[in-house]
Amino acid sequence: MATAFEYLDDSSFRDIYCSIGNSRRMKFYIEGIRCGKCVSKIENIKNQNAALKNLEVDLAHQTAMVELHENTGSFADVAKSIEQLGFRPVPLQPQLDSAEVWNAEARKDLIRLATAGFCAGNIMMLAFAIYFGLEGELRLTFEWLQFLLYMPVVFYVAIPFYKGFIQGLKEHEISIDGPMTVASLLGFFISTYHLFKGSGPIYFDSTSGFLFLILATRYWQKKTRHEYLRYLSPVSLMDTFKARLKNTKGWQWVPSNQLSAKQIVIVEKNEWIPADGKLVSNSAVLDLSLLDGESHPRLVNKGFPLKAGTKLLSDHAELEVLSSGKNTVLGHLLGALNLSVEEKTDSSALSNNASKWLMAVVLSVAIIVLIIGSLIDFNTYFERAFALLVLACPCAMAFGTPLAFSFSMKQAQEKGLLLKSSKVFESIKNVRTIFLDKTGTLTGKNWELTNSFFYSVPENFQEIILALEAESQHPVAYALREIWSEQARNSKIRAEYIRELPTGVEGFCDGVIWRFCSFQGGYGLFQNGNLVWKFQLESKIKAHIQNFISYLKSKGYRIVILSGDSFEETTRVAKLLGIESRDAFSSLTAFEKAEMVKASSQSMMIGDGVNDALALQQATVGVAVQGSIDLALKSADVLLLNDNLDSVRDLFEISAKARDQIRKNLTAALIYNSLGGVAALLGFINPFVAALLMPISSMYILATTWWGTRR
Amino acid sequence: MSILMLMIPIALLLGLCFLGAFIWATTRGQFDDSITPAYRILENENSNEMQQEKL
Amino acid sequence: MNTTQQFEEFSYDDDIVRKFLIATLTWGAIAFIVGLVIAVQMAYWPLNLDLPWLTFGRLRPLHTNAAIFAFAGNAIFAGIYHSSQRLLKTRLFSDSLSRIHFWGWQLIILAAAVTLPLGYSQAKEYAELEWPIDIAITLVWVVFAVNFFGTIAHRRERHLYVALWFYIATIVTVAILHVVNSIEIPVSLFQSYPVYAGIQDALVQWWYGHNAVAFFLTTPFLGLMYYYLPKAANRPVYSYRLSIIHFWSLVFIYIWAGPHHLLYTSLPEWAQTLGVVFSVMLWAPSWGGMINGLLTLRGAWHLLRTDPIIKFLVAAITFYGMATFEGPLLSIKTVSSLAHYTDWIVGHVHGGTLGWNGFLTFAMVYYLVPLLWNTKLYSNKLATVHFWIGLSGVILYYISMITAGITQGLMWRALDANGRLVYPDFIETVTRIVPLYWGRAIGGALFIIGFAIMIYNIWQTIKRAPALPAETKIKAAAISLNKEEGREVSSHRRLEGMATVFTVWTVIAVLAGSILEIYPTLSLHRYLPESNAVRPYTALELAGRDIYVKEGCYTCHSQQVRPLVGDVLRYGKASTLEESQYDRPHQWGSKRTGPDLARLGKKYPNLWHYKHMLNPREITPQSIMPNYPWLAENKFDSLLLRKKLSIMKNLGVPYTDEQVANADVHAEKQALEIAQDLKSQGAPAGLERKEIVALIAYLQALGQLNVEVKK
Repeated sequence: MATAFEYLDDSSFRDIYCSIGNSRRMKFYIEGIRCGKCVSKIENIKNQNAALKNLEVDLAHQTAMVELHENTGSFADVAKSIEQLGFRPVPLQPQLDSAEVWNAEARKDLIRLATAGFCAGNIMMLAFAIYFGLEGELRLTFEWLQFLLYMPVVFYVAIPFYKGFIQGLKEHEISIDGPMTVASLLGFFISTYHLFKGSGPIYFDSTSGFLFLILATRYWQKKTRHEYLRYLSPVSLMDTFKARLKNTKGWQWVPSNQLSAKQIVIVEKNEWIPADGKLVSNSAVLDLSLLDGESHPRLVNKGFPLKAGTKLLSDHAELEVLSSGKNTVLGHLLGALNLSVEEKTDSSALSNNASKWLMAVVLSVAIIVLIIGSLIDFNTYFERAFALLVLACPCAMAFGTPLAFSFSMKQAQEKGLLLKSSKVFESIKNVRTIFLDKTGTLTGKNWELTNSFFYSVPENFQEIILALEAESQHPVAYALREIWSEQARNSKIRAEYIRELPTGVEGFCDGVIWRFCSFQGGYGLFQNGNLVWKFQLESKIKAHIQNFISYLKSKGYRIVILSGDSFEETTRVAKLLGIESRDAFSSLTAFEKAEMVKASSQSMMIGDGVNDALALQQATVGVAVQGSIDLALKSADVLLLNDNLDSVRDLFEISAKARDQIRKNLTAALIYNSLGGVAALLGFINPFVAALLMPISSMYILATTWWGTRR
Repeated sequence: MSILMLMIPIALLLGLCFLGAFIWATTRGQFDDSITPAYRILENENSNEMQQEKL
Repeated sequence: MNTTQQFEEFSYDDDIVRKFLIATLTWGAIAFIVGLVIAVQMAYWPLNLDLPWLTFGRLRPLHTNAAIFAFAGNAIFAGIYHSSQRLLKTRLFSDSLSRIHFWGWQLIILAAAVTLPLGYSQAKEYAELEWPIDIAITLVWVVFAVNFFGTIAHRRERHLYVALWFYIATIVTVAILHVVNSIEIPVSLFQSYPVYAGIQDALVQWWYGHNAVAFFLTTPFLGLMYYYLPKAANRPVYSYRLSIIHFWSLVFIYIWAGPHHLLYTSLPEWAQTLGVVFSVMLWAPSWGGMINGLLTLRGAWHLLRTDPIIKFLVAAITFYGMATFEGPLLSIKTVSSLAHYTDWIVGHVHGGTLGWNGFLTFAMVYYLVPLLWNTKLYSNKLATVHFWIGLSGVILYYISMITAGITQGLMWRALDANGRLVYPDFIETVTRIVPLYWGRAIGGALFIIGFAIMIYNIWQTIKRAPALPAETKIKAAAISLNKEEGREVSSHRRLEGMATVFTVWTVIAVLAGSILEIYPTLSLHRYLPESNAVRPYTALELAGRDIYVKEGCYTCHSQQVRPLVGDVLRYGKASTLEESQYDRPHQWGSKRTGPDLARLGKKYPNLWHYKHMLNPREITPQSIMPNYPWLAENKFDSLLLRKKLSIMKNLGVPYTDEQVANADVHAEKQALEIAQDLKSQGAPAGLERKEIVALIAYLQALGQLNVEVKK
C-alpha cells in the first residue's frame, strides 16, 4: 500500500505541518517503531538523501524530526523512504504536538532544578564547614559566599512559588506555595540582616535545600505524569486534515479546512471522510464506530449525509461538501473539548481541607507570635516564629502529598494505568455511577461467530460464502471479509452466475447452487436448497469484563451503558453482562452522552471513541481504554494501557492507598507540628535545630510514603 | 588556611562551569529524549560492515 | 534525487587508535613489571640490589605514574579517540594534533621513566614529575583538548552521548587539577619547590590526588563503560536517564571529597568532617552507575558464560562497585583511624586499578583489536584463561592487602592492661605481615601472567590479520552544525556552533579566575601569621631534606603523628600545623611501611643513623628497608644552597640575608660538626661533604624545630 505523500510539499500543507517559524522542519509520527534497529534504519535515510539536513528519531514519542536543506528536497521523498522501510509516517501538526509543549516546559524546569541543586549543594557544604567548627575570617567569607549563592535561589529558583502564592491569593486561597514563599523571602531577609549585623544565625542552607527538595519532587511528579503524553499519538484523526478535491484534471490534495460548500471531494477505500457533506456517488459502506459508536458497517446510498471522522470501507466515493473544518460535527466536538494536556493546578493545589487548615493555623500563629512578640523582644520572637515556619511548613503537604501521589502514579503505571493528573486519586472516592461505552470498550471492534450449527460435514463453507459475497457492498460482506481475512487471501474458489436476492446472494460453485441469506435472526448457508450451516454475527465482549462488572456491583456502584449503537445490540450486551435494561442507553450522540454524564454529578466514564471524548471530559474521572483514539486520550484522566478493564479495579485500590498515606502523613505532620510548634514558640527549638529537624522529618515522610504506597 | 581561599573559588568556578554546561545542554534539547540515544549508538558504524550494507 | 547539496565524505582515523592501543599494552607491561618488582622488594629486601635507581623509593613513583598515566592514560586516549569519532560521526579534528598528542605523551612517559629512577621527583604522590615534564604535560593536554573539542564542534550527530560528557569532564577537570597542583618554582632543571607549604601543600596535593582518581581513573573509564558495554553486549544501556543523572551528580560531588586523605592530621577538624560527608555522599551516584552497568546485561547474562569481553566488563563494573563502596567506608573517621597508613589502602587502590581500570581496559582491547585490524581474535579461550588467572590474581592481591592492613593497624593501636603498647617495636608489626607481602607479590604475578597471555593473544591476532585496508570512506550528511561558506548563517546555526565557543570561554574564565585567585595566594605568604615558635631549616638540613625527597622516603615513612592514643604513645605528641609550615613539599606521607618520622630528631645519635642508612639490618636485624650505601659516597650539592634559600626566602621563609648569602658556608660548617661527631664515634673520616651528613642533619631536625623545645 503506497500512500501518496506529494501533498506534504504543497505550500498549503506545509503551513499546517511545518515547525513554527521554520518551513524546513517537519515532525512525523512513525507508526511501527519499536526498537533500536528501527532507529538506525530510519536515521540512515539521511545518508541516502542529500537534501536532508537532519533526521532524528525519538523512540519514546515514536516521532522523527525531518529537516531539509534550504531550497531543496521534498518531505514526500522522505516520507516515502520511511514507508518503504515498513513504517507508516504521519505528519504532526506542531500545535497539536504535546511532546513539544512538554519539552519546552521540561527544559525550563530542569534548568531551574539544576540551579537550585547547585546553589543548595554548595551553600550546604559551606554551611557544614561552619557547623563543623570553622571560625574566624574564613567563616565570614563562607557566610558571604552563601549569600552570593542564595541570590539565584531567591530571585530565580523560587519564582514559581511566588507565582503560585499570588495566584492562590487571587483565588482567595492560601496555597501550599504560601509558606514556601514566606520561608524563601523571610530566610533571605533575616539571614542577610544577620550577615550585615555580623551576628545571628543564617538560614541560607536550610531554605535553599528545602526549596530544592520541593522542586525535585515536583519535577519528578510532572515527569511521571508525562508518561501519559507518550501515548497521545494523534494518528487516526490526522488523516482527516487532508482531502482530495476534485478538479478538471482529476483531483488534488488540499487541507480539509480549506474546503468550501458545494465542492466535490473524492474519498478512497479506508480513508477518512474529510468534511461533512452528502454522498453524490451511488453507494458507500461506512465504518461509523469511532464517531457514532455504531458497531456494524453501514451501507448508505446517494444523498446520504456523511460526517467527517467516519471511515470509508468501500472502494470509491464522492461527496459534496456542506461544511468543513470547525463547522463539521467533528469540529464542534473538538471545539467543545478542552484539549490542553497539562493540568493547571495539580501539585500546587492543596490536597484537601486538612492541610489547608493546618497551613492557615501555622501561618497565623507565626504572624501573631511575631506581632505580639515584637512588642516584647523582636529578635527572640522573630526567631521563634521563624523556627515554627521552618519546622512546620514543608514536609507533610509540600513534600508528602506530591510524593505519595508520585509513588502511587508510578505504581499505577506498573499496573498499566497512566494518570494524567494525580487529582484522580482524590476525586475517584466520590464516584457513584460508572458509565460504560459499549463499542470498543465492552465489546471489541471485531465481530465473532456465535450460535454456529452445521447440518452437514463442514467443508470450505467460509470460502464459498466469501466467493458469493466477493462483489457485495453489503456491510455483512465487509464484516465477513474481515473475520475470514486469511481465507479471503488464500481461497481459489470462484462463484459464477451470482444473483442478488432481497435477503442475500445466490450463485454456482463447481456446479452446485449455493445461497447465503438472512435466516432466523442470523445467517444461513444453503446447498442446493438444503440448510448446511447456520450462525449469528455478534460483536464480542472483551475478556475480564464480566469480572470487572461483578466487582463494581459488589462495591455498590451503579453501572450504566451509554452506546451510540442500535437498541438491539445494546440490550443484548446489557443482558449478557447482567445490567438492567433501563440502565442501557442506545443510539446516543456524543453530546447526549456528555449530557447524561454531566447530569450524574459523581461519575466515572470509561470509553474509547470520538463520541466518548466529551463525556470523558465531563465525568469526574474519565478512563480511556487501550486502542482509544487520541481525542479520547486527551480528554480522559486515566489511560488504560492493557486491554483489561479489570485494571480499573487497581485504580480504586491504589487511590485508596494513596489517600490513606496522605492522611497518615498529615496526621504525622499534625503531631510533629503541634509538639514542635509549641516547643519552637516556647523557644526550646531554635531555627538551627528546626533546620536540622526538617530534613529528618522529610526523610521520615519519604520512607513511610514509599513503604505505605507499596504495601 | 589561605589555600582554601584558592581552592574554594576554583571548586565553585568548576562547579559553575559544569552548571553552565548543563544549562547549555538543556536549552539545546540534549536531554529531551532520554531513550533513543541509548539505541542510536548500537548502530553498526564499523566501516567495513557499513560498506557491505550499502552494496 | 534532486540535490544541489553534496554528501560529505570522511573516514575515521583508526590509525591513531591502533597506536594508542599498542602504547597501552607496551606501557602496561612496564608498569606491571615494575609493580611486581617493588612488591617483591617489600617481601624480599635484597631485590633493591643496593642500586640507587632500583630502590623502592624511586621505583614506586615510577610504578604509579606508569600505571596511571602510561597504561590507563593511553587506554583512555585510545578509547576516547575511537568512541568519540563514532559517537560524533566525524573524523578527529586534526590528524597532526592527534599525532602530536600521541608522540608527546609517549615522550613524557619516557622522560618519566628516566627521571624518576634517577631521583628527580617532587615527592607529591601521583604528581612526582619535575617541572619541565609538568609543562610538557600541560601542553600535550591542551593539544588533546583542542583536538577533542574541535571534533565535537565538527560533529554530525546533534546529541552528545553520555560517554562524551564523561570525557569532557575529564579533560576540563584534569587540566585544572594539574595546573593548580603543579605551581612550583624551579631551582634547577631537575628540581623545584612548590609554592604551597605544609598544610596548604597537603591540601592541594590531596585535592589533586583524590581527583586524579576521580577524573583520570573514574570519569573517563565510566565514559568508556557507557560506550563499550552496550556495544559489546549489543544492547542499550539499562537506563539512559540514570546515566545522565549519574554523570551530573558525580561531577558535582566528587570535587569535594579530597580532605578524607588527611583525616586525623593537623588539618582543621571542620575540613576533615566536610571531606567525610562528601565522600559518603559519593556512594549514591557511584552505585547508581554500577547498577546501571550491570542491569544493561539483563536478559543477556548468558553472554557472561561465553564471551570473555563481557566477563571482563562485568568483573570491572563489580570492582568499581566494590571500590566505590569501600572508599566512603574508609573515609569514615573511625575506619580511617585503623586503615590509614596501612596496606588496606594499597589493597583498596589496587581493587580499583587492577579490577576496574585494568579489566575494563582489557575488555576494550579485546573488543577493539579485532575490529581495528579487521580480523577475529586469535583465541577466545586464551582470553578466558587470561580472565580467570587475572581475576584470581586481583583477589589474592586484595585479600592479602586487606588482611595485612587490618592486622598491622590493629597491632599499632593494641594496648595492654596498663595502657602500654603491646607491640612497641615497629618491626614486630612488619615481620608479621611479610608473608602477606609474598601473597600480594604472587597475586600481582598472576595478574601479569594473565596479561602476558593477552599480549600473546593480541600479538597472534595482529600477526594473522590481513593487510590493513585503506581507510574506508563514509558518506554522510553534514548536520546543521557545519559552517557553510557564502551563506547567511542563521541565529540557530550560530547557537549550534556555541559548543566550541562555550568551551573556550569557560576554560578562559576558569583560568582567569584561577590566576586571580592564585596571585593573592602567592603574595599571601607574606602576611601569614606564621608561628615564630618554629625555626626554618638550616641550609644543611634543607639539603638533607632534598635528599629525603629525592630518595622517595615518603613512600614508606609518614611525618604526621595523629592525635590517636596508639600514635602518640608510639611516636610522641601529635603533630601541629606550625611544625610543617616551612615544608616544601610537605612530607606527611600516606603509608607507614616503616615508622613515622615526625619525632625522629635527637632520638638516636648520629652514628645510629649513619649505620642504619648504610645497612638497616645492623640496627634492626629484621628490617626490610633497602641499603643506601651511595649516600656515603655522593657529595651533597652545596653550590645550589644559596639559590634554594633565596627562593625559600622569597616564598616567605624568614631567612636573614646573611643566612642566604652564606648558605653554603653555614652548611659546610654544620656538616663538618656532624662528620667530626661521626668520626669520633668510629665512622670513617671524610664524610663532611657526603649526602649522608646532610640527611642526618635533616633527620635530627625532625620534630626539633620548635624553638621552646630547643631551649
